Amino acid sequence: MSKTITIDHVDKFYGSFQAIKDVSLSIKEGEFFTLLGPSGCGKTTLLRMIAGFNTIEKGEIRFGDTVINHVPTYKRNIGMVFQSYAIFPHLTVQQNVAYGLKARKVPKDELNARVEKAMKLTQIDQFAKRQPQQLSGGQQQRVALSRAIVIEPDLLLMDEPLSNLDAKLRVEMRTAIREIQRELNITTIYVTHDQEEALAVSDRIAVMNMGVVEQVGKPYDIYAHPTNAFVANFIGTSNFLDGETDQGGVKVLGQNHIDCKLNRAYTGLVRVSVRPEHIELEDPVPGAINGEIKIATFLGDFINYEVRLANGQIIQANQYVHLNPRMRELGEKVSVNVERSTVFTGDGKEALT
Amino acid sequence: MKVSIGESLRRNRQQGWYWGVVTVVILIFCVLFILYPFGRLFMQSFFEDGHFTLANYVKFFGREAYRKVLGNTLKVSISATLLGVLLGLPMAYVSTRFNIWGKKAINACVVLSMLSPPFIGAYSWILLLGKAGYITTFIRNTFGVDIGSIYGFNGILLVFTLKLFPYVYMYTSTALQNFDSALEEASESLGVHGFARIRRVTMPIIMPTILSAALIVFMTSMADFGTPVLIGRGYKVLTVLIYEKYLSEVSTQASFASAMAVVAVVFTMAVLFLQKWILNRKSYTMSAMRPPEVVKLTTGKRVLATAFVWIVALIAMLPQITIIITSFRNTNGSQFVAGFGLDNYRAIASRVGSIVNTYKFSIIAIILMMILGLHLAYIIVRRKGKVANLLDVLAMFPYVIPGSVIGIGMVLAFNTKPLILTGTAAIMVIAYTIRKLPFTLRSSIGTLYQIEPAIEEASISLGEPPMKTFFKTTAILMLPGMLSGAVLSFVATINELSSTIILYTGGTSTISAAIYTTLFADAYGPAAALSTILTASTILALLLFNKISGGKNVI
Repeated sequence: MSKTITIDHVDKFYGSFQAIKDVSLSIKEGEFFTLLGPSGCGKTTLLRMIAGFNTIEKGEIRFGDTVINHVPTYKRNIGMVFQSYAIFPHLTVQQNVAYGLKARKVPKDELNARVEKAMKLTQIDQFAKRQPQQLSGGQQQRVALSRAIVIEPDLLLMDEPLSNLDAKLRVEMRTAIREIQRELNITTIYVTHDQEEALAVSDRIAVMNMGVVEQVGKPYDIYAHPTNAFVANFIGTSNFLDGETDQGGVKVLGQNHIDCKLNRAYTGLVRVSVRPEHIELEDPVPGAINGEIKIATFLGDFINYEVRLANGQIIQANQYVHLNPRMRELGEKVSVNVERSTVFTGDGKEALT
Repeated sequence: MKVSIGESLRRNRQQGWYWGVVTVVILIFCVLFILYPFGRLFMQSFFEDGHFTLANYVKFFGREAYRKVLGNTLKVSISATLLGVLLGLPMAYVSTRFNIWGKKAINACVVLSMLSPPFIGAYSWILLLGKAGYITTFIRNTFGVDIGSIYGFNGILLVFTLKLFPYVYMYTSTALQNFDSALEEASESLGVHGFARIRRVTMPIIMPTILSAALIVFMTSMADFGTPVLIGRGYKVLTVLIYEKYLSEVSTQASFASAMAVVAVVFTMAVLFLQKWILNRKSYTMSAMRPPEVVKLTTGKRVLATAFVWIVALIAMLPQITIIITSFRNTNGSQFVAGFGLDNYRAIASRVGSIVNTYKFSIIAIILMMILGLHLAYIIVRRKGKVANLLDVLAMFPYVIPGSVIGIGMVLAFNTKPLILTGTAAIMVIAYTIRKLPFTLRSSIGTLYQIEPAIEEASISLGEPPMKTFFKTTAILMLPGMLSGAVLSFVATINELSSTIILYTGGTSTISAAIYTTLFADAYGPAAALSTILTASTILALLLFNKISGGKNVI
């Protein structure tokens, strides 16, 4: 049944272009693991290597203890949900779901029972006799999921399964997927470029960029403790202030000191990342980080301000309405109070706090 | 994407053996039955009694008489192309853009006249406008005027134009229907309207389509053998000369015929490349957001427009009708006599073998074409690479080669050991298969592009190996779309004359070969009966296709 998946120093080349660079990951049994990154980062390439649609140039991928590098896809016992759903248009919903069991020559009674159960679980049993063209996007998505789980795969692979749905349905479906995955306890690898989606569904996330894994961790850890500037920037929104190390902290914008404790001895240039919600705007204080309001956008529970600093840099600051009900005027002078920040080395490659 | 040999081997191992084997089998088939015969023909043109020589080419280009034949061929093909466009274009424009009466019926007439073989048209026009033709006799008897004869350049041109303008009509109709009306509206909003708009916006945009259709008209005219041989009389063209020389040479040599065949192929290829070159520089993809509205004409104009379209369509249909009526006329020997009956059909009872052969060969050939089309399209679309490109070019090559050239190539290649096929049914079936495959292949490729690769990946991920996956998913999904090309292939196969005439022997005669020999024995009645059977078969195939495809239009 469910298995641990080990990706061991894996490379992928397209001609001279290296799409995957020495990636190693270990995915636990029953875990919901997400590959997250911008388009072209290699997440789908890696997923397709695990599925067997892409070859593995170097390294090993193991399902449990078995190296599957040269096992053809059809023998890997995986369930896969595609971005386009890839529902067989010439088969009914029921026949779609039964497809993998027929390939496995499951006896008829057992087949019917399992198909019935899978359709119930994914709530498509009432469409059993329909042609796929008669279903909505969300319903087709459920058929795709049903078809993938009915074979009781060792591993469930999902390639941007929600990107063709509208925003509301996306939220509904991701909850449904998560519930079904928990109930069946299937090891799942999920690919998405949508960080919100990744944060919402995953047990752990691997953030990928240009063929390498930048950080692996639980959603909260990745958000709160990014290990490099790319992750800080890609997960959520971050403002970056350039500066250098200072006594007892760092100095940004040439003069403003921020207290912090570096995790190792380091002197030199730094990049300080500050989340918009970790900035408090105050009435101007001499010697503080000062700026003026350029744009104010009311977004319901908070107001998003764009503040132009003295050096011309524009930063984002979110102020909760229940704490700061007054909407500041355009052009109003403010001081920027940094409540929390992460300090990176000057090249952004390493976190120092 | 560059793929190393190591990579492709690994990929093959992972994806199973099926496509590797299929690729090799099809490659062998194409090399053996397309490349090799044409290679033999090409080599033969440079050899005489085992010695290398340019004598055949010197002889061809050196003699006034032969150069004149080449000139004739080009003259009649270019004229037919121009006239075909001049007739097909307004037909398409009027019938797509205006509210004329009976559009569907016109479409049916035009498709039918396009799909029946040219030589039956030629024969029919002889019945109508020949020395003793129905119309000629009628005018002579009524007005005492002799309108002269239809034979020669005018006759060939008449037949080609009426037979081939439907290509222009079909292609441009589709283009005009898919035209985004916003473009025309933009032009009108900028003050360019009416005829100026057609000239400056509509025409330039559908020009690539017109050129594609024109190319087909040109190539078909160049390649046709039946029409000029029947109605050309003294006006000789290349295909007829090739056939005559082939018959008069020792058939194992056929060096001079080969040289002429090479010349014919070179000219068609030149035109093909010219067209491709123009198309590459100017081609637009258009998907109509909102197709143009049909203009409602005032009653007077509507009648005129309808009359124009109907008259052209009926003239194009006239040969079919004439043939069918003629087939029921009573005959006495080779003379028509008064009254109607089934004499002609009784007279062709001895030809029943030819009819059976036609069906037998065509059905086997179409099955082969479907299997080849299915797999070739897959290799070309899904397994891109050097081999796939080579197969694409090889499979499309017979499309630009006149049938008689293919026939001669086949004879040269397969009349000696190790593989002797001449005189067998197999050689006919193979010739038909390679020659008519392009229709099926093109529609297969077009259909496959509409099917997403993820469908197969889904099946493979669910545990079906690649071969089973192909037949359980993609192949089934391709079939409906393939059929539109396959029906064209089938109709073209049952009507095929030019390669048949080179390859058939007594036992492997087909309906078209039987018509040809019957006509040359001056048995016009039985020929009409055979032609009617052929026309009926064509109609039957089209109806069957319409039934299967659920009433969607041909092409």
